[in-house]
Amino acid sequence: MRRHGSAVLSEVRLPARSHSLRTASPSETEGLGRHLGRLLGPGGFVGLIGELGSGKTVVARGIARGLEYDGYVGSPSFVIVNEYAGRVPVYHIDLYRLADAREIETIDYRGLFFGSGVAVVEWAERGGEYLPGDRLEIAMTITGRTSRSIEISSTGPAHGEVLTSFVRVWKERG
Amino acid sequence: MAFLTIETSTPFEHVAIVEEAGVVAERALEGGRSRSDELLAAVDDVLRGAGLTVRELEGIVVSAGPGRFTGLRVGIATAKGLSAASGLPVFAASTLAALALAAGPTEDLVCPVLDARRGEVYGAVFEGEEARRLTDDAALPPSDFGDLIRGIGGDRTALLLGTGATACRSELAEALGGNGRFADPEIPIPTPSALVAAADRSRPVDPASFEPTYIRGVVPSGPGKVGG
Repeated sequence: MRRHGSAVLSEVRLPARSHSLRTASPSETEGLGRHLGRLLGPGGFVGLIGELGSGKTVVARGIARGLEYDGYVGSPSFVIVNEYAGRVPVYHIDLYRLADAREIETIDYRGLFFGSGVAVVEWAERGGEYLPGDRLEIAMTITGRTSRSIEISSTGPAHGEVLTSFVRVWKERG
Repeated sequence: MAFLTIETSTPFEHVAIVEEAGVVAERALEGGRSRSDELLAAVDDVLRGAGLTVRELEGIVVSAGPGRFTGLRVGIATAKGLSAASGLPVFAASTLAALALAAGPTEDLVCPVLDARRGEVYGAVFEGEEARRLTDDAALPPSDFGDLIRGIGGDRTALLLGTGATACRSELAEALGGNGRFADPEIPIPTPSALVAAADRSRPVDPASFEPTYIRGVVPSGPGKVGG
């Protein structure tokens, strides 16, 4: 029943599917994350995709800041999961060391991806079908020493709404 | 014949001392934080309450899952640690079987169901006073669990109980037509006595290799929500 409802809703007000932008510096890249973090709540999922050095951890730090966490945000490559006490719990996850998507079963993916917090996942493409069907993906490309080309896309209605709001605040930012 | 029971598979964690006559000491851990220090303090409490030392126990019965990932790991690691220090045997209780036994006698199919997140539940189907198992534990969308129950029981009434019955009530009710009966939400957990009854006390587990019951593999998840 609910599925029909949201189908009708999306015909009336199509959520954004994808948005491309450029940032000129790490602080602007972090700012993108901060704006996004302010819009996220329980059940939020952001997958970060891009080569080493493309700024995934910088965006993750911004998202944590937007969710009101002021402490240290580093790369969780070796511990797989860092948890930050923000406005809601922020789960900063790095799948770089996963040899196979099935290794996700060695972490609490049900609680981390579908719980009461926001999951920010680096190397998300390694998560395969364990990822939520409805999520945001941020693909990052290095275009210069500090500049990045960034494409944000949503894969479902809930994160489509988040993306629509983000595009509006990103355009209106000072 | 006293057993220490440890149940951490749902957010309603508890430890207890169960003797032949029933529960003699029990302690619930608030908040479902799955902290080993709190769990051990609670074990200490119930032992004192029962006037027993670890070495006077017959064994440790631990809820083996399926259920919450971290809770199960902490509960089982605690059981293993106590076993290593005391030499006590560890007995595994299927969480869903214990939940089925906690339902008490009924003519209906008994369908314990736990919230597995990502739009899924952990469920299995049992029947009879001794909760005879009719299916393996599974992780599946609630509507599929409803179909599974109907496939087994036809139009037989199914009693649903557990955190998943509360969390996914409307989907389960819809899948079962008029044949779903929902247990009183006041009893959503495997009780200490039910854990002891569900454990095979003739076969202790090997603490070195024993792991929680994880249900492997996934199907892609559906639409989600952000906030609220």
